[in-house]
Amino acid sequence: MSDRPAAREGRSPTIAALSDIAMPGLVHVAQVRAPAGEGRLRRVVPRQMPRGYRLVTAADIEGSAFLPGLDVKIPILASDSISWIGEPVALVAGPDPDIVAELARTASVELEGARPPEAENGRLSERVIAKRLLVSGDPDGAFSKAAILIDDTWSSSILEHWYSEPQGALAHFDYDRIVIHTATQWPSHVLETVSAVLGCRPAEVRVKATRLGVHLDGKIWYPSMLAAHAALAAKACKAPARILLTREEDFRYSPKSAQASIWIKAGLDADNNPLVMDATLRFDMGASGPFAADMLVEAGISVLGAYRWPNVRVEAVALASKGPPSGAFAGLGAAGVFFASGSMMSRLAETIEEDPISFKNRCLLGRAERHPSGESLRTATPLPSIGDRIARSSDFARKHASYELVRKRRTSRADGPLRGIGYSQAFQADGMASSKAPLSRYALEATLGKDLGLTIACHGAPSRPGPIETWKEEAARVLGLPTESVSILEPDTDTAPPSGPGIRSRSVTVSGRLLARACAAIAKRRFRDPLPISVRSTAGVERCLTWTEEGIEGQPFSQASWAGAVVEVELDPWTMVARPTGIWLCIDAGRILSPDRATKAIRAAAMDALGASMGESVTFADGIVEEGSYFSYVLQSPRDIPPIMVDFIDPGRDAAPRGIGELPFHCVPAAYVSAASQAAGKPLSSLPAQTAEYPQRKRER
Amino acid sequence: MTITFILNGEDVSVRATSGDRLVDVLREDFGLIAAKADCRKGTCGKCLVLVDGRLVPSCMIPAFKVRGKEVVTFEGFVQTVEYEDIRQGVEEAGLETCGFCESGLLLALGSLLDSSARPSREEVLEAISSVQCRCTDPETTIAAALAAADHRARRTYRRDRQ
Repeated sequence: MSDRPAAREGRSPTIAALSDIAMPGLVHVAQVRAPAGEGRLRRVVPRQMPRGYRLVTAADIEGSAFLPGLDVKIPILASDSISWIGEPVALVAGPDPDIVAELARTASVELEGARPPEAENGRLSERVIAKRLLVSGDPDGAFSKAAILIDDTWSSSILEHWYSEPQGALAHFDYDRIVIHTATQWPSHVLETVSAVLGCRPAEVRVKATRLGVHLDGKIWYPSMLAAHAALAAKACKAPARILLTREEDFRYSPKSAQASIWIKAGLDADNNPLVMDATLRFDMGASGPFAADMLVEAGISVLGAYRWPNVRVEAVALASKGPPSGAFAGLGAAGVFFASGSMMSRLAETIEEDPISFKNRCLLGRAERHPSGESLRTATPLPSIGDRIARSSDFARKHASYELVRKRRTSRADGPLRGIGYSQAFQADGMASSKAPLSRYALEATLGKDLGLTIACHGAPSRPGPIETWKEEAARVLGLPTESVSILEPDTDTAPPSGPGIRSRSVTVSGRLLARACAAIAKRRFRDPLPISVRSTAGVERCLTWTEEGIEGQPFSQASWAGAVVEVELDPWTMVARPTGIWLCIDAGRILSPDRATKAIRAAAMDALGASMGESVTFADGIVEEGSYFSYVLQSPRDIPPIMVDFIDPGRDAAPRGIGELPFHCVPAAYVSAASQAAGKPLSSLPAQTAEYPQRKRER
Repeated sequence: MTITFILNGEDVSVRATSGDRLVDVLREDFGLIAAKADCRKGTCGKCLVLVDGRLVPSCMIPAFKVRGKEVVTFEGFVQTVEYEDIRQGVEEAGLETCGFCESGLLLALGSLLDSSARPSREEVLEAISSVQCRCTDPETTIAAALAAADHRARRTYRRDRQ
């Protein structure tokens, strides 16, 4: 194998991209896909199979035919019933990628009992994957006493992760072991999957991570599936095999975000205090939702927020559809729910004609008050001070009041500027969800060598240069070493201990703590024991949340990070197209290890969150991603990004660092929609928010 | 057919069919992997190269179209003094990319500085809009471009003085 020298690429990280790995005798692999979303698979017949090309089906799987370690059964290759249009039913492997793609495209997939695609209308079905219910107080009775009521449905669209590199994997044999190269958030799961599918011992599999890039939590389990495909093809062809989806394939057939539809009815009492909330949260999980239970518990907590609701009824439902399996997108489903609950709170503030920041702050739970999850807050949330700071920096109160005045007086578009400003607040809690052992156990190994070089091996280590530097600086600080003497090994199952997936900012919240603990342990032994000193540090995710028939259990706020966002928007008076003119974010996330890098990360995430608010949307027709959707899906252009001001609240040196990555996704959309609603003078309740005239006319037609 | 052109300052020849895209020829025949064959529809900017000094997506250019022309890839660009300005600007601003969009982004900045010695914010935003990636924040890229422009101006001034 020759990992081509990274030095030739200039400044790029040293870990190779999957598409850059060259190997002699490499065969390319393409998936043969089901043409319908249901029916029983009879057989797959390739149009022809030239010499040197192979068809691999489920019959070639010697071990387990399903992905291990997940709540749902996801077949490696469908062998019997078909669940979604585009589900892989076979693989074609061979030396020429174009011929392989053509053979896979033209292979005949014979199904029994399949309806023609046009009979499948849209994605949602009524098949329930998971359902949870939480009732606290007397919601029905409280509604009869409510002085103010609002009732609406908020929906968010399906989003594409648009990875830095599309999903893929490469497998090759190294003497008596199989080596997998893939960009994954969860190398241990790839190892487990390949050993289960090939029916071999885990020690016979090695997983080396390739360059991950931006993943937005879309590379948790799907790389394991592709690794199994590559391994099957490598075994069948007795040659190195690579499967690398094209950008369009990735767009149409890899997992997407779960579409959320949130109905909320909320009431205030005669003093305009929170009285009752009834919410139904529906998620379209595609054909199967590997993290449906985790998503529901996050969604349940997120819809309640940190507010004081004495009477609550929350029903959360994960539904199946004919789309690709869906779920995580920059977190596990909280973003769509925070959008709904944040918009609902803004709507309530507007109804009672109160400043949104002061309304939201006075509705917050106070110290020692009990949340419907059962947690009593040990300290008050920092949201009031976040609200105060962000109101000052954005001049929120004055702008909101004047835009509101203009909105009320406006009789036509020509009457004054079409401007709006919105505020939203949210949290990100690292202890949330994922109580299952493989998902919540993390480990890190640190070794101080004889040359006083520190080597760190951890699957949860950051993959980008900035966070890697932050880790090095932190380790060097604890051990009093120069930063250059710290090295972080590339994720490799041969060097790093097994760990859960790198999701939910766990490189900071869990693995970062493991690093600090391991370094502290080395520091204690440094002048007592001979070098080298190796320390393995392990931990589970603390305070996991569960949602059972008894209710939600856990402590969602004990390690939470908090944020508030203000977005200001101006509409073009002729086209009504929205243009954001400023974004302000204020964050309390414990000790910020590198304020400069954290600011850049927050800005990049805010840009993506704005994209989800303004235009990004994958559209389905007849159960499959529309062809035009790929060509019209455009990431937010830097030209459309307003100045983004980021302000971190400094909690002091002793505070533990907490996660920040998902916060912009939790609070920017609701703030944007509130601002756009004020500017447009009409309530908006869907993402992406459409203020422009053209799309509305198009829909009417 | 055999295509002869100048690649990163060297005369090269390669056999290609009429359907071969420039990006594939660069990656597979010359091992120049900085340009990524990603979207293959000319929108992502990860395959940008300079053809006769113009920034073009190499996934949309048939290889035979560069016959007799000068092609500069990111690998060639990093050998130039112009890149050194960009590198210093990038380091000063702390611009960190995912590694996939980097070649397109930095070539776009280099091309911008060739056409505008003192680019405005809007010009920088226009230039980097040709590269689609979720990893970078525009403010940092603008800071990197403006710092690179300063370095280039200083270097040019020193050269002219000599």
